[in-house]
Amino acid sequence: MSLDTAVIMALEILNSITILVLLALGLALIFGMMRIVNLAQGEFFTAGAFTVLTAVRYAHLPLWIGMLLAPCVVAGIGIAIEWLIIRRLYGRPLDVMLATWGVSLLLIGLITVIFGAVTQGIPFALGNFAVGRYSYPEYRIVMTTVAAGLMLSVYLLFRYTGFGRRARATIANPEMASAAGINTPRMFMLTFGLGAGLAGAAGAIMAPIVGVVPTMGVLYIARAFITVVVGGPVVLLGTLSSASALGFIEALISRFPLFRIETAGHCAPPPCEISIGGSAFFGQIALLIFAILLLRLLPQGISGFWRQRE
Amino acid sequence: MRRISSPEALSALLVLLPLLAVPWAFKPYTANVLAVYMIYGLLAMSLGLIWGYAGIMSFGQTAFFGIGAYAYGAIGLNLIDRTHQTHAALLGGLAAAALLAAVVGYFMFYGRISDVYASIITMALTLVLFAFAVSTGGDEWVIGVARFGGFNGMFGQGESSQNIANFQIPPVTLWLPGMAAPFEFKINRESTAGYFLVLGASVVIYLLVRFLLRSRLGRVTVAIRENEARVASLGYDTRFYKLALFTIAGAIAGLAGMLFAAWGRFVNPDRFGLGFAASTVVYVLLGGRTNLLGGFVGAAIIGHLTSYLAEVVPFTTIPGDAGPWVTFLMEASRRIVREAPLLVQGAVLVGVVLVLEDGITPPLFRFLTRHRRWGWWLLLPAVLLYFGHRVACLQADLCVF
Repeated sequence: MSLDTAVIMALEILNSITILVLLALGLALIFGMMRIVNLAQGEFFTAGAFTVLTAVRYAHLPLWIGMLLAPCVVAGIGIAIEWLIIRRLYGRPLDVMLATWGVSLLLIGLITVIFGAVTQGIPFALGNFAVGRYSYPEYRIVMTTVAAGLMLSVYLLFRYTGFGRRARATIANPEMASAAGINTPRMFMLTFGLGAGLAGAAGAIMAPIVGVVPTMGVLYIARAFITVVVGGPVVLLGTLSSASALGFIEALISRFPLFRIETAGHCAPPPCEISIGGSAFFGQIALLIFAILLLRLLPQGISGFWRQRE
Repeated sequence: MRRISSPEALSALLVLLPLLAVPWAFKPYTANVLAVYMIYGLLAMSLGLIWGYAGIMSFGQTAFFGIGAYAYGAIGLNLIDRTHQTHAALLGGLAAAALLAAVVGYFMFYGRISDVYASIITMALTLVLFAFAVSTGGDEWVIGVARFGGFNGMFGQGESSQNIANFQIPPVTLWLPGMAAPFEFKINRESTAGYFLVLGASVVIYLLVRFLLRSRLGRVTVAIRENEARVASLGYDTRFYKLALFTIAGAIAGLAGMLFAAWGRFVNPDRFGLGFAASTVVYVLLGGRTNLLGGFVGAAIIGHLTSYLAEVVPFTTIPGDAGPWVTFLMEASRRIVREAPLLVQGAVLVGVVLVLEDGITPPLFRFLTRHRRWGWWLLLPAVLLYFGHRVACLQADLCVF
């Protein structure tokens, strides 16, 4: 393997990891801290992308303003949903899951009613840069930077600010936190809103490179959940490590065909073959299988495994 | 236990009797639609079985349904011209669904994955199968003469000049020793055999599952739902019991899938889609998961609701001289109706969870148990009203089915 191929391969692995981190970060926050399985997270992602689309297409604002607007709008939606529905269901994990699935379907329906079931694109002006014989999109580097920035901000927010301390206290022991004068329902609401906002940011950032369509969240929700489940109970490091492991496998299998199977179909150029590996779809299959095997070995996820060993 | 289950058995009988008469009283279309509601009900019952009785919430029960349908289609298409029956296809579809359920169940239960994780994994499984089924549009995706066909669904390979019926998935066809000719279970003007096949399968599976739940396996799984640690400490291998029930439920879902493929003579990736997965959960949630009838009840209610919504809202064209508000309202209502299935499902999910935790049938059966003497007389008008309304609108030629 020549040097430029190796660099491109590394960049693609980095890109896979970036996407998984972006998708999983908000979910990890909501699931890891509040133990809520939020199936509407995919639609928060969609809502973020549609905010950007509305800002750019219909309000004619610059792209970056749309991208800053998206997390705020989606955080608002998240807070409203927490206040209306999820608040009534704390302590009933399965019911929360079903209710958020209902919210997810309602949001898909609502977005389709408003925008129609068509795929729309968002134009943006960033080119490619050269890596030896290959060229690579600059925007992907921007995405990685933003993902790293988001992770760092979440860390700083929870580690060093007053809000972060109160939120961690609420999650660790709600009764005690409440007795110490912390408004715990408000903390749950804000944490949920933050998780929603992060999904909105992810949707906004990924909007220019994917088709914006009301059902887009569905395509990503499974991967986001797998990343979070494999990551285990430690929110940031768990997400990062599982995104790295899964992203590596996904990028590798997407890139290299493993073997071919000949079939009896009537193909236009005669040899009729199915190539196993070498496409984005097989990358996702490999990710799922790897995740299931990993969970068989480490039922508490990667970071749960660390904790057990301590 | 006896006392709670007896209203269930009686209401099952009460619904079964009119269903037996349907092919003679109504159009073939009614039999066709009721057959597919029963197929969905069978699928929902398989989910209710593992969710209500073992506490395993599977978002991906439709994965086994879809696998059963695709396997039946692939084997049936390949063998029907040679053997003129679909026995092997029926066995193959059942085996494929049960095998998939056993493998997934093994990793979930023997990996001791918690309940919530199990839901997520089953959902991911369905979505991956959806992605797979969609990506098989190319000419190279064939098994023998069966083309996967991507979004277009599964068909046999044939010349385009031929009648399309020649390369559709075959209906359930029996040719047992001693029969002069193969017998096809179809639903059309001439035949109601397909309807009675689905009805018969539903009744038989329902009775078998009731029997199963009284057996050791059923009692142990209910105990696991209540307190897994205690059952394990009594010496039962809880993983094995969960896996066994999950596999059986997967096989029932696969059976429903085969009936579906044979009913519509068609299967496409939508059976793996999120919408179908959602509607199955909605059927069980609405109908009630603490008894086996709930799934059927939920499927019938939601099925009727969505088809009524499609019927009642007028699809007239918007007049050119209408004001902006009228145009806006008409366009909005039209778009809302187009998305009605999704919106109804979402609203039912949120509504049932917030308001009606157990679904419809458990409170109904409790009511019937409490007022054993006169409670039934309240059900009778409901049944009469429903069938009377169907007959009336058929007479007036107003209803679509």
